[in-house]
Amino acid sequence: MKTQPIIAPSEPPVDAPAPPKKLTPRKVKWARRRRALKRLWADFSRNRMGMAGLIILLIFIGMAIFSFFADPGRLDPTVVTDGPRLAGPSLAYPLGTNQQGISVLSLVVEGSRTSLYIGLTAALISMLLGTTVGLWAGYKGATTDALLMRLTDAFLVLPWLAFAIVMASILGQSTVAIILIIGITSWAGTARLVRAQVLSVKERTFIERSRALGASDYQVVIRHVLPNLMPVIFANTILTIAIAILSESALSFLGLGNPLSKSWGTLIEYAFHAGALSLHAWWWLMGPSLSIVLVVLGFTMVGFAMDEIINPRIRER
Amino acid sequence: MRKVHKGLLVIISGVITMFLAAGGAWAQSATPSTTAGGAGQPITFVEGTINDMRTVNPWKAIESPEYEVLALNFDTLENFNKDDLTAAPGFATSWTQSEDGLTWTFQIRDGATWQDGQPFTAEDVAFSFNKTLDCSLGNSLDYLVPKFTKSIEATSPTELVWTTSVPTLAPVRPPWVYIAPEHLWGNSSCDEIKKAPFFEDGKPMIGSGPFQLTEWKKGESWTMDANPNYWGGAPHIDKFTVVKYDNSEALVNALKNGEIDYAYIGSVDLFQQLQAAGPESGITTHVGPAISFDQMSFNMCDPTAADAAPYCAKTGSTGNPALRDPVVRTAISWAIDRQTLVSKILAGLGSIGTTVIPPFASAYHWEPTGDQVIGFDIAKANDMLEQAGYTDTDNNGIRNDPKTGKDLDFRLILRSESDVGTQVGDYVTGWLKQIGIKTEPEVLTDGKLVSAWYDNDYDLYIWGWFPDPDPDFMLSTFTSHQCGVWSDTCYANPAYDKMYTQQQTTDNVQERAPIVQQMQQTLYTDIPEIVLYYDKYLEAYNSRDWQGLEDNQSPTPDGYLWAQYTPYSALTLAPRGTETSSSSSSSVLLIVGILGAIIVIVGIVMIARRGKSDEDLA
Amino acid sequence: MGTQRYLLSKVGQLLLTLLFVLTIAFFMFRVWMPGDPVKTFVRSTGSHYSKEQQDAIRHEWGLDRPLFPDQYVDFMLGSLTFHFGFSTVLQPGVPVSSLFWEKMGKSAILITTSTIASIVIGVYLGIKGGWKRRGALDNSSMASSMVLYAMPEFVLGMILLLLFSNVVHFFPSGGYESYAVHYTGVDRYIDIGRHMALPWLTLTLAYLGEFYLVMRSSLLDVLGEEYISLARAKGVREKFVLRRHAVPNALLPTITLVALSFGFILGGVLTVELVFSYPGVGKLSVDALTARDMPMLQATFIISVIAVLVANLIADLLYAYLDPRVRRA
Repeated sequence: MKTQPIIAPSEPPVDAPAPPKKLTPRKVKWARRRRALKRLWADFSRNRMGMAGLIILLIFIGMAIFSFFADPGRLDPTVVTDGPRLAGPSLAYPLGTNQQGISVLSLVVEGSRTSLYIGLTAALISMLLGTTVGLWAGYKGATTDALLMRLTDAFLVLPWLAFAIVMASILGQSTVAIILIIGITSWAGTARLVRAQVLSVKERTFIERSRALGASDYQVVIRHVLPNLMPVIFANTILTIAIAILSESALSFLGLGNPLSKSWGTLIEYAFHAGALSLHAWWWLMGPSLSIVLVVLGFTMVGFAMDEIINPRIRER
Repeated sequence: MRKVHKGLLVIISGVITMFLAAGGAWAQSATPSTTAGGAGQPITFVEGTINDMRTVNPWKAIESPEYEVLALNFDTLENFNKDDLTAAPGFATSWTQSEDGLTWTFQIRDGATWQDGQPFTAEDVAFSFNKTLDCSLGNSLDYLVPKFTKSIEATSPTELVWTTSVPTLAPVRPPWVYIAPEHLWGNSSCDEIKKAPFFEDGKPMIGSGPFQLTEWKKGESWTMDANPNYWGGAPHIDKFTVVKYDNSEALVNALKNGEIDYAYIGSVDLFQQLQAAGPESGITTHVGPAISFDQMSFNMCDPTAADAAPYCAKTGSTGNPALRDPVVRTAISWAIDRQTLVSKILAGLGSIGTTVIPPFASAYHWEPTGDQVIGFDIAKANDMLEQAGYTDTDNNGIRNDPKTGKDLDFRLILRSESDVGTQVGDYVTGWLKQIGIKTEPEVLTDGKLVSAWYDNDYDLYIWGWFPDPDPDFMLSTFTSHQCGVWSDTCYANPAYDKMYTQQQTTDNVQERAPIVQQMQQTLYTDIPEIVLYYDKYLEAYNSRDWQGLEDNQSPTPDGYLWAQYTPYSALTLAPRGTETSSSSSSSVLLIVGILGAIIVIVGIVMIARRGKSDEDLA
Repeated sequence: MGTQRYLLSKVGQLLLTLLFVLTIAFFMFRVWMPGDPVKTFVRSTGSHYSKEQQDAIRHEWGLDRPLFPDQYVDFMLGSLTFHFGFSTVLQPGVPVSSLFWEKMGKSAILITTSTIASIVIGVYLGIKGGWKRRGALDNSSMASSMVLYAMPEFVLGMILLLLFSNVVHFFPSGGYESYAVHYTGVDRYIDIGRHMALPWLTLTLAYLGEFYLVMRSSLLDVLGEEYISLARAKGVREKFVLRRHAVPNALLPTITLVALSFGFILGGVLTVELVFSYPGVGKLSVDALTARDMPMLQATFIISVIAVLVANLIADLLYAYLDPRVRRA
């Protein structure tokens, strides 16, 4: 959309107020967004739960990034040939060692990359699917809505693990398959939420006005509806990531994951089946387990905090 | 304190009381020992296993629990000698070989009966052997050397004559064919015998052995009753039960809790934990023979080769051609540190692998010496490959095949059902990386691995064997006609095939041993597979309540305590005569539990009867 | 009149959803699934079956008929009458439904008792928490609920196992009852109870947090409504405000959540039964999964779908009972 440049006035007299800089509708929009973000951040930083969650997440993301640069030899039993087998936590090995003498901490750090990757990607797919369905159903209404909601309800009641097991038998046990499976079993909640939001946004007058002005459906959805949904979708996606990580751990624990992917879930599965419980090698199990709990807590806390900020009624609690 | 909170506290304490009552009673009650000496209770010896039993058809057995049951329920013609597993008198009390070596005559013992009372005669032996030959009944066939056996006949109820076309030691290997009763199966067709379950609910399996299978809850447990009329003497126990567990950990827990009396322990770590606790804990551990081995097999099937095995030529193969270059296989063998595998994965409970006939078969095992030995030398392996032209042409750290230009990238299949499969895979991957070879590890269930194996759709895989006492079977698996049947790799070497037939048809050990050793040497230099290590058989049993096992190991020294080739210890096992202490604390537990429930109810009532003082809750 | 219409429509929806899900299941198990069940079965038995024999089995299992409409209708009817075919790997040739019913009882006790306990305790704490915000009980419940929510069920199970079976030997480490000693009568029930205690505790704690959080937040929502202020203005005593006005309305979303969670609870049962080697249908499903026994997995899938749908129906009924607006419609 071409805009008319506003001609700046010539040098003002010294004691006159400063003239406005070049302003365009787009610049105004972005300025407003930046201010909204700043406000969001201000609110968020005052929320103790949210900040605590964020710190946890930053630690683990840092871990994942670090794993890219760490020496892969530290995980290779033919390189680390003299590690103590099944040793308990100590200064040298803060999380103890596994059967091959490899530091569990290294395994956990390596696993963070896979687990976070799977969690984020699966949540992304879930979010895209759910948002699309929810938008479409909410905006179109009538038959489309009814049909899509039937579909959503069906997926909502589907027992996710039974479905995941069957899908894994069909799709195989690759990382991609796991991501798809998690995405397919978790989009329904987002869809419902998005639809509810769309319904409430639809009522507002500026939608009517845009349509009166001749904007197409697509434009209305993209330009007006979607931006209003962003905060809710964002908060919901954060919570979906938490669920995705939990789902991946359950699937891997049952043996459905890619056994060579070294995610936290597969680490736990391997340790469990190697008899870690009987061998009293609790650190081998608890290292990856507590990492899952912490990361999921982190995402949950951030998500809940966002919920509180976005929904003013919740904030009063 | 507000009444509501008090009520809540009361409920919580009540629940905790019930919880502790349940748990405390368990801790208090004496560890229940298996019914060894309980008045009126049958003396039962319980074994735990993680392998399931699929069939008890004597001709279809594959898994060890199946063999265990069959060895107790049936007899073979000769027994396995307790010490060295050669032929010993059993059903056949003595035997002679004719001058020309072509006729073996066996004297069958008199007075033995089947478990249904019918007399046992040489007819039954003849029937079982002939049925095996006529119907080509699977696993036991080779013991009866179908190529050279002319006839097996019962000339009288106590005499069996076996004639062959060439002199052979086969009749005294001893043949591992279980004798089935002719009066029950004589009229069955080949098909009927192949499909017969041999055991059905309510119809115990009729054999001639010291025990009889009387109960089978598929997938869960199976029970055998003692046969007091066994010709070898009555067992000292009444029943023998096997219970299936999911994994080694559950098994060891069951052993510690007194739920089972004996187990073979697949996990080295768990075994060492039991070992460390010592016999004072009531559980005695035993390191058995290093009879089994794990190997890494190469796909040797080249359908285009002139002397390819027939099945290989027919089925084709997806194996990487680079593996058919002996230099590559030798280099890989030099890159595997077998000693580390033994010390790290087996925790020292094993020895490094050399040939496919384990050292315990002392008469036949061949040990490489001096220059023949393939040890661990990464530099040497790298040199070998470099000189043979496998250089890294694209500088990605992986050597390239000079013939195709492609990276040396091999698919490595690991078994999900192996306790150590993925561990070994990790080590192998690491070492191969150091010599510029990349691997693509895959973990498959046995079902899928078998498919891949039959389709020749693999490069490398890691599996293991429990060889027979006699080397014949193990050696036979490397002959070309075993491709598609038992052959690990579809290795096809006409010279080897010839040697196999030779050793089959010699009739004395002095002539046979050198041939067998020559065959091992051939396999050691050709490397169709790398024998990684021999792992020792780890057993543990409840020594507080049972005796008669250690002094009856078979073979000796360091033999099996239980589940022996011929079950000697099954006849010597006896309870130590300790009395079980009955769990009389159950009534105490009940009272405490009821008390807890009452406390909970009181708490609920307290909360329900909240008075007016709770108005200002906000 | 309104209730009837509501009920009918809910049952109708259930049937439609069931139809839809079963159709998807048909595609998954008959059309898309790689592998031939007859071949898998033959391989598992270790016996040799000739081609004619294999075809006979194929015919007996109805797999040689055309996919539509024959196999489709068979599949649908079979699923609704709980006929799922024959196990191919775990216990070759045995009807799947019989294997299922054998183990169903053990899981049923575990699931029902733990779900009820979870709901009761969670709702109770949620009401307390919502009513008295920021009290010590509320804060600690809130914190522990979030931690429990973040913890996969099997991790919780392993922690409890470590604490109560390894560190203090109060409870056995798994199974359903002892094999070594044959308890009878009351002793047997106690033995079973001992074995069930830890899995039960795991499942109860695992979902308690969710119910707590939802009950609490919906109660807070409801307390902000106008009719509450009205009731207070009218002089209704606090405890009646809570009991007669707030709680019944706040229960509604909780019921919906319970129904929705049932799918997750069933999933949790699988992993928990695995951790404790508890021989119920969850463990059976995991064994079927490991062995790739497709007919058994089919049964697992369909039975869990039906269970969840029924749970949802019950929840809808409860909802109708509690929500007068629905009744009057």
